[in-house]
Amino acid sequence: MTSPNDPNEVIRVDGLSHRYGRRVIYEGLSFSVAQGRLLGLLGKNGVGKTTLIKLLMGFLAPSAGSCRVLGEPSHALSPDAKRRIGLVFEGHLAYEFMTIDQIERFYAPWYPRWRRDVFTDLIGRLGLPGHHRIRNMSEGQRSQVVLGLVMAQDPDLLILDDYTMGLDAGYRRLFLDYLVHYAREGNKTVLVTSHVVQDMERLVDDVIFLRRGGDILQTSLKSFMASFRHYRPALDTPDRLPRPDDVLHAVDREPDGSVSLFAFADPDRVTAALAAQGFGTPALTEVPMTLEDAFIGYTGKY
Amino acid sequence: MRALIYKEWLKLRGAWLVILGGNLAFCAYLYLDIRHQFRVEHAEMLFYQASRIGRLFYEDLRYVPLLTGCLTAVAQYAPEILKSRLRLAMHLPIGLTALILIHLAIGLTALGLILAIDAAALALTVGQFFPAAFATSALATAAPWLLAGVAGYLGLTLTLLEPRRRYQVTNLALALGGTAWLCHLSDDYGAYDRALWGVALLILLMVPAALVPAHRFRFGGR
Repeated sequence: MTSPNDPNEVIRVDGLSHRYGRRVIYEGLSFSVAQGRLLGLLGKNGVGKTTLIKLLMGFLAPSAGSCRVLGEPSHALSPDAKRRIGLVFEGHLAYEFMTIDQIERFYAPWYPRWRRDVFTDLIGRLGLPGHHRIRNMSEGQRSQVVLGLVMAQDPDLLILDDYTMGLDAGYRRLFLDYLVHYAREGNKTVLVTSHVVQDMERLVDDVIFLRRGGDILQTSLKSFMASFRHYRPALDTPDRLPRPDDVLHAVDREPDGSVSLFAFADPDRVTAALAAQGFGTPALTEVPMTLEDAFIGYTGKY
Repeated sequence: MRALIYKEWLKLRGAWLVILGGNLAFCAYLYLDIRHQFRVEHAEMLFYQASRIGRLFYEDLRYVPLLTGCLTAVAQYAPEILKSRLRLAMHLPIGLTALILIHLAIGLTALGLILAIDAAALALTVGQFFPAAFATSALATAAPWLLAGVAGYLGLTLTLLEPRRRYQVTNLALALGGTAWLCHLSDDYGAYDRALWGVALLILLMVPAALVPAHRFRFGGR
């Protein structure tokens, strides 16, 4: 976490609250993103990821609190700030009526740092002629055009809202590899959401887990994967499950009847927590996790 | 500015050419219709009908500009709204007010060119069969109809940009319905001669009014 006046801070959200009618999405949400970090915003459907992206993109004004991007309020970004932010909208939104050449001709004059080499490199991989119209492209091809346009802007901050939508594994990998290389090489800050959680392992330094009601965990991916653990206790109480508490973050009954425990704690603390709940001292087996397993363990299946 | 003109031209050119073609076809119809009447009736009778009874030989033109304005607005904004593409334009490094005003200027220019062609065709057609004073009168009589075209464009723009349903209905009723109605209150010769500038001013007020739904769209729209 950066300090409030850190000049390297690219995004700062302070006490953000937002609601749709009476439905509270967040209450007092706070986090920040430092320059050069790649951050994944993860959460289940309906927790407000898209709302947060809309707030950061300036398409919603916060009900309370502040949301600053590149030092400016996100809902009142100056043209200069917008020039430094590359947005990839959900569904790879683009001017479909344009051809590849036309869309570059349209966007290039807006951005003084336009990098034609980046655009032509990515588009060259498609093997499509410049007069190919975007509406006639597959979702994967369109994603390459959109990514090419955003990267050619040479922005300081990239915000990608569910870039995986509609992409097969090959295009996802291409998109991801290109993005990681580009971001690391140019010290870019990236905020990304995706429904394909396992991709984040290849991409991000930090993660934000967003849970219903605005409960948030911001941590480095490395630290999260090192501290969050999945255990299988050998319990002989088929009718009773341990309750989540200060040590046991989540408890789940698996389809085969076994019990999964998720905790930010070593086996000794988990055993003690189980004993405190009257489960004795069962043998614990630690289960290795992918990020997706950990994500489900942390946020729950339902 | 040039980039926005380029984008709008790429988007609008197909629809604009179709609308232009429709208006040219109407102009041809108007010419042929009046010529036909002069072929089957004595010119004196037609002059009498025009000057004494107040018959309009070009009344079919009445709602054509309104339809043209509405179609231009639909061609320009409906794809942006339906496909949520307006967000792309709103993230361009330009202020929202300038962005909207430039879009309106482009749409009004596209519409104005067609309406100018309609007006010229009307003046030439009437001028070919009637004395010159009738051509001037025809332009004065058709001027509120042409303004209705602008009102139709701006009114539908206000409606399409508006993200809230109840305001959309209000805009449709007041901005489009109200002003279009105001422009068609009378089809007497020169009926709007003294009110034309007032009506024009009222319609022009819809230009700054379009900024309000655009701001609502920006901060919480679709």
